[in-house]
Amino acid sequence: MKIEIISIIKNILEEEVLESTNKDNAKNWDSLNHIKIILALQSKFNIKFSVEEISNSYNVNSLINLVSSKLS
Amino acid sequence: MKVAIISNFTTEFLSDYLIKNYSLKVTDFGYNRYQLELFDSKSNLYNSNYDFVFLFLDGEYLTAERTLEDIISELSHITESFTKNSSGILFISNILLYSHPNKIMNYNGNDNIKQMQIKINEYLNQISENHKNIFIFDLLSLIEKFGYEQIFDKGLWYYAAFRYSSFGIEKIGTLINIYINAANNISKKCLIVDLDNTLWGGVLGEEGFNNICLGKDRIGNIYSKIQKIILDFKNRGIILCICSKNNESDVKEAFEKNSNFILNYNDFVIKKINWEQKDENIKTIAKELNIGEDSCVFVDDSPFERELVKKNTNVTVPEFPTSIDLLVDFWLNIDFEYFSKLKLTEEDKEKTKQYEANLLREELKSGYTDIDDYLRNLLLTLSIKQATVDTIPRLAQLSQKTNQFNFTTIRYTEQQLNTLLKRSDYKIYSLSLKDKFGDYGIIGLIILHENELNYEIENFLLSCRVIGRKLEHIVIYQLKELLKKDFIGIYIPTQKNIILQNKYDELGFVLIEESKDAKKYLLNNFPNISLDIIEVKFEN
Repeated sequence: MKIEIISIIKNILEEEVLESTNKDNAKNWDSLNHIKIILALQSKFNIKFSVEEISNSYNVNSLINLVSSKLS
Repeated sequence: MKVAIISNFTTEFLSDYLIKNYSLKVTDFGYNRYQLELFDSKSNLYNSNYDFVFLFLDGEYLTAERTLEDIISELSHITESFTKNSSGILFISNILLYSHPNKIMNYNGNDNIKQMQIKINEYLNQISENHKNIFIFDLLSLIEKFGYEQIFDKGLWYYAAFRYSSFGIEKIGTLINIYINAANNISKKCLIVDLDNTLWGGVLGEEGFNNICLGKDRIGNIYSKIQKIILDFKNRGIILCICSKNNESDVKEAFEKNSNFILNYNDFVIKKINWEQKDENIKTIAKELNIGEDSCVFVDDSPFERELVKKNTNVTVPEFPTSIDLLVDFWLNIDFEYFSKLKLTEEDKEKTKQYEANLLREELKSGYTDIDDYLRNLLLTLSIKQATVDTIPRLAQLSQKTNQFNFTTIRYTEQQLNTLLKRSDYKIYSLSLKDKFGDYGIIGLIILHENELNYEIENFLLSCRVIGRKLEHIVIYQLKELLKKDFIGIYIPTQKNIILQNKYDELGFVLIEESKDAKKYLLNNFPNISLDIIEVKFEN
């Protein structure tokens, strides 16, 4: 799952993505791409995010935690 | 083809989806630009000549702190401005005002938000009825089908004023694509159906015409409902055909003697009821109808037949549901996906008759070796009439659609033709044709521009359905007899009107001028042809 999430984010940002990647160290992680990431995860895992979750997940690690907490 | 999306919220991700999945050229105007773009006659929206404009209005935003009168006046303003400034088509999404199911007050109290929804949508319906270029985008039915919770996304709404979930985007995007296809008239033309377990339940050959499952009980009613859906296709101009492994006489008997049939045997234009391979039968059907295989949809419950047809033809073959509970939805979905049309024309309603008449004509033709004999036996009657305000819409449509027999390919709008109609130096004739098998309606147009010495044929066109009947000879002969002046013909070659490259020579014209783009001819000696092949009625 981790790998899937990273690959989704990578596809959208079109740059190298690691577990430590976040809004500040990624070049293309702006608010537009952030919504694209949220939509792609939604569609892939069939889950929805609240506004707080969306606002607080500008990094790969929290996204992975968020998705796994929703799937368990 | 250019598509624009405008809205009173954020729609960018919907546009993204369309661009990625349907390779459409979509421009998204961004957050809440709809008033700016629609009211200003010099806006980008109007300057860029979009073919299709989708206006998405979020109900909650639209109605916030506003009266119904205020909203209706805005919508009316939008309509007027769009009609004046754009030649494209506008689709307006109908409005949802969400209320919790337990809010009895929403229908009955002072806080009438559902009444507001109904009234706004009623007004939108009126707009679409009164304007040829404006249609409802039925978002509301989509939400009813899939549900508010699934289509919408609260997190993204509070985060970025984006309304839809990824599921919602997918469903709305698919619907937009279907609307565009319908508007472009690229829906399918013909439905080919199997019989056993498709048009009725059970196997006719085993159970007999009275024991097949159709009508009578709750399960039989499923098949009645399906037959009603298919009959409705026919009434909308879709050609119905049968391709079934059965004995033809058994099938005929079932249609005649089982009183629960909704469809008639003769609702089907071509019936291939035999034991041949279905892919071969279906290829023949397309050939006989003279349509592409890709214009046909084939429905059969047997996976074997579906695979065979899928593999060997270009016919569309939808997957068949595994449970009869899903059958009605399956057929409604076929309607939606393949046979959607924006509006019905009179021509659509006559389609089945036209195809039947064509089959009879072909049958007659095969009995003749001499083309003139064949034409004489068709009992053709050609009417040449001066155009009137009533015939202008059809003539404009013909000038827009005709590519092959079209000497100059000048396209006219209704407005342009109406202007020419008022000029004394122009004569516009409509050509209509009948034969013993039916009425073709208006099938041609000739526009003459009168100069001091001659008439110049500014355009002359015939629908491809009537090419090869020597109508052009008769028309030129009759007009020449009537008008008693020299005739000048103009031919502007295009990639599609090559069949006309020697036509003026054939009609007795001689070349008098040639430039890079056009040839000019003068009518010299009208050729000797049998004029008795077509009866002509003249109304000047």
